[in-house]
Amino acid sequence: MHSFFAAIPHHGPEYFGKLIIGLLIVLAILGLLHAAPKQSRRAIIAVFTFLGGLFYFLEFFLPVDPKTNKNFLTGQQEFVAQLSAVIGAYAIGLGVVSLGQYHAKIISRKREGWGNSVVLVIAALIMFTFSILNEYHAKTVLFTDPFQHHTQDIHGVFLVLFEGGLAKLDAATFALIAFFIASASYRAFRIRSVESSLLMIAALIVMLASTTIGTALTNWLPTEGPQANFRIEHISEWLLTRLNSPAQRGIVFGLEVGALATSLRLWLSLERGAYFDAEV
Amino acid sequence: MNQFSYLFNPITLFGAVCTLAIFSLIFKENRIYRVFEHMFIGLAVGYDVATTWTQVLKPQWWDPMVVDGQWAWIMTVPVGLMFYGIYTKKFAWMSRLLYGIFFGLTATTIFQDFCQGFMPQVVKSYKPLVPPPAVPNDPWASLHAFSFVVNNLLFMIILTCVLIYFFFAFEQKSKFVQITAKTGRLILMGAFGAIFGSTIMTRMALLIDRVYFLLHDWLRWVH
Amino acid sequence: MTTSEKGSVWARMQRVDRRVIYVLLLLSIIIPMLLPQVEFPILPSQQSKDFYTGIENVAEKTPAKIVIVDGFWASGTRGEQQWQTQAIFTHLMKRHLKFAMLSFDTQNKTLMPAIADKLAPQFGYEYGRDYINFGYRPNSVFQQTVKGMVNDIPGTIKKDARAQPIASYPIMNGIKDSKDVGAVIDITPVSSVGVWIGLFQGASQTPLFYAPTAVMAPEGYPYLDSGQISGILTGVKGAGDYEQLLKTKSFGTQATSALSFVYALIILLVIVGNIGYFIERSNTRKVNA
Repeated sequence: MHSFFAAIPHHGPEYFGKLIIGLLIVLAILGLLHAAPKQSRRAIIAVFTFLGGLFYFLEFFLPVDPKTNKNFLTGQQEFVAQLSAVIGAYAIGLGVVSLGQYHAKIISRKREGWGNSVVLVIAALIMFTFSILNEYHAKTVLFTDPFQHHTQDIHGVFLVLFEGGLAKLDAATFALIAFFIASASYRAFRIRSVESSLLMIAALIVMLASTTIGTALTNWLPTEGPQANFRIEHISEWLLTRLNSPAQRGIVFGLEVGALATSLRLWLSLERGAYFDAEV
Repeated sequence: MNQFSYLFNPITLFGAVCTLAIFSLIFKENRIYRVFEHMFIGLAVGYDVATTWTQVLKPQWWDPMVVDGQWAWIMTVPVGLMFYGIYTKKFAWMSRLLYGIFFGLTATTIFQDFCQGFMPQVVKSYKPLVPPPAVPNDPWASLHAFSFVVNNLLFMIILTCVLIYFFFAFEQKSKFVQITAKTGRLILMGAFGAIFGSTIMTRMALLIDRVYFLLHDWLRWVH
Repeated sequence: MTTSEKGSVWARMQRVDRRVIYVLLLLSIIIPMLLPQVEFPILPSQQSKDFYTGIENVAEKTPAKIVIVDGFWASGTRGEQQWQTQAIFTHLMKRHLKFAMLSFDTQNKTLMPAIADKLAPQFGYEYGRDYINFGYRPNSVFQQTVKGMVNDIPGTIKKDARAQPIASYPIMNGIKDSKDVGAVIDITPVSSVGVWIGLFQGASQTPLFYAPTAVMAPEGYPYLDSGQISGILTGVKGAGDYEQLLKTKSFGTQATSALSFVYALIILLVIVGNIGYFIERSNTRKVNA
C-alpha cells in the first residue's frame, strides 16, 4: 500500500497513469457517496465530521511513549497540516467567484457605480499578474522611469502596487476610525448612569497614564511607599492587573466552557441552526 | 533631478494619493473615495489569490506532485473542488461534507486548548492569602504584605462576582446573589473602560502613523 | 449673559460641525510632529519592562535556542505593530538571538521580513545563519501548524519563504521541536495568543511573549497573571517604551509624544461634551418646569 503511493519519477507513462488512477479513485469514492440515498446524506456528513475530528482527539488523549513523548499519530501531524492547507487553499476561489458575479452583474447592466466595479476588476487583475511575476521574474526590466531616470523592473512596479497602493489604502481605511472616535467622544459619550460613569473614569485613567501629560499630574508623589500607589501610572496598572484581569478571566471562563460545548456539538453534529438544518 | 523630485517617488506619491483619497471621506462622501475604495478591494483580492498560489499551492502541492513525483497529491483536486459544489443544487451537499471535515478537525483542537490553556487559569485563580516571607531590609515589608493579601482577596472576590453575573442557568432570586451579580456588572464596566481607553490608543496610533507617512515619508517636513 | 443665552451657547457647542473636531484632531497630531523639540520623557510601563527583562533572560539562559516570531498583522495595524516588530527585532539582534519569522497573514509575509532585512546589516545578521523566514501559512491552518511545530519544526515547515528546505540552513542545526525554541513572540491584532498558549506553550512551557495592538492588550492580562505569558507589549506605547529601554529612537518614541496631545484632546472633548450635555439638560428641565 505504502509503495503504491510512494513518489516516482515525474515523467513517463507510469507517472501519468498513476495521476489518472488517483483522480479516478477519488471520483469513484465521491460518486459512491453521491449515489447514496438522499436520506443518508446527513449521516454521511456526520460520519466525515466525526472522522475529521477524531485525529486530533486521539492524538491528544492516546498515551505517549515516555521516551519520545509521542504516539503513533503525532508524527502524522505535519502531513495533516499540509493536507489541510492545500485543500483549504482551494476555497480562495469562492470569494473570487462571489465578487466576480456581483461586479460582473453591475458592469453588464451598467448600474450606478459600474465604473467603480471596472476599477475593481482591473486592479485585481493587475495586482494578481504582478504578484505572480514578482515571485518568479522580479528582475525583468519593463521600462525606464522618467522621474527617477533609471530602469523599472517588475519588482519595482509590484512595490508601487503593494507598498504604495494596497498597504497605504489598508492603513488609511483603518485610520479613518480615529476621526469617528474623536467625533463620538464629543457628541456621543455621555455619562448617564453609574455604569457609564465607571466606564468613563476607568477609560480616562488608562488614557492619562499612557501619556506623559497624564503622568506629569502625579509626578510630584514619591515613587515608593504608600503614597506611590496614588501615582496615575500605578492606579492604571492596578486597574489593568487587579480589576480588569479577574474580570477578563471571568469572561474567559465562560468563553472557554462555551467553546468546549460548541466544539463538541460541532464535532458530534449536534449543532442546530440555519446552516445545519438546511436541507441536504 | 531637481530638489523636489522626492515628491514624485512613485511609491510614496501613489501612497499619498491613496491616503488622501481615503481621508476625503471624513469631509464628505465623494466619488474619489469610492473609486479608491474599490481599487483597495481589487488589489487585496488580486494579492490574496496570488499569495495562495505562490505560498501555499505551489510549494505544498504543485512542486511535491510535479517536481518530486508525489503523484498522490492529485487526489486533492476533486476534494478541493467540492467547495464549488455550493454553486449547484445537485452537489451542494458535497461542499457541506468538506466543511464538516474542517469543522471536525478544528473543533477537536479545543480539548488540548482546554486542558493546557484554560485549566492553568482555573488553578491560578486560587490565590494565596498568606503573604510570602518579607524581603530582607525592605522598609515597606508590612505594606507589601498587606497589599499582597488585599489584592489577592480582591482578585478572587471580583472573579466570583463576574462569574455569578454571567451565570444565567438559574434565576437569580436570592438577594445576596443579586447584589453580587450587580457588583460583577459594575466591575465589568471598569474593565470595559480600560479596554475602551486602549481602543482609543490603537485608533489614534494608526492615524498618527498615516500623518507621519504624509509629513515624513512624502513631504519631508518632519525629520 | 442670561440663562437662555448661556444655554444657547452650550446648545450651539453641542451641534458643532464634526469637521471642526476632525481639524482639531489633525492639528493635535501635526503640531507636535512639526515641533521636534516638544518631546516628552517616556515612562516605560511595568509590562514593557517585564517583556524586555524576559527577552534578556532568554538571551542569558538559552542563547543557542531559536526564537519564533509570528506575525498576524497587516497594513491596517502597521501604525502600531510595525514599530513593535522593529523594536523586538532590534532587541533580538542586539542580544545575538537567532530567530525565525512565521506569517499567518498574506501582507505580513512581505512586511515583517522587510523589517528584518533592513535591520540585519546594522547587526551583522545574515539570512540563513542568524535569522530565517518560515514564510506564510494560511490562517485556516493556524492551529494545525502550531500543533505540528511542537513535535517537528522542520517536518511541519519544510521550506522557507525562498522555497529552500529549512534543514539546509545553518540556523536550523539542532533545531528539531519545541524544546529547541527559546521563546515565542506573538505580534498580532487578533486573539491568536490563546492558540499558542493552548497548543504550544502549554505542551512545552516555552516562554511566550505577546505584542498585541492596544485594543487587544487587556485580554492578555489574565494570561499574564497566570504566568502563561511572560510579557505584554501594548501597542505603540509599548513600542515607545521598548525603544526607551533599548536606548534607540524611532517612530514609537515620536508617536508617544503625539499620543499625549491626542489623548489630551479626546479627554477635553469628553469633558466639554458632558458639561455641555448636563447644562443643556438642566436648562431644558428648568424651561419645562
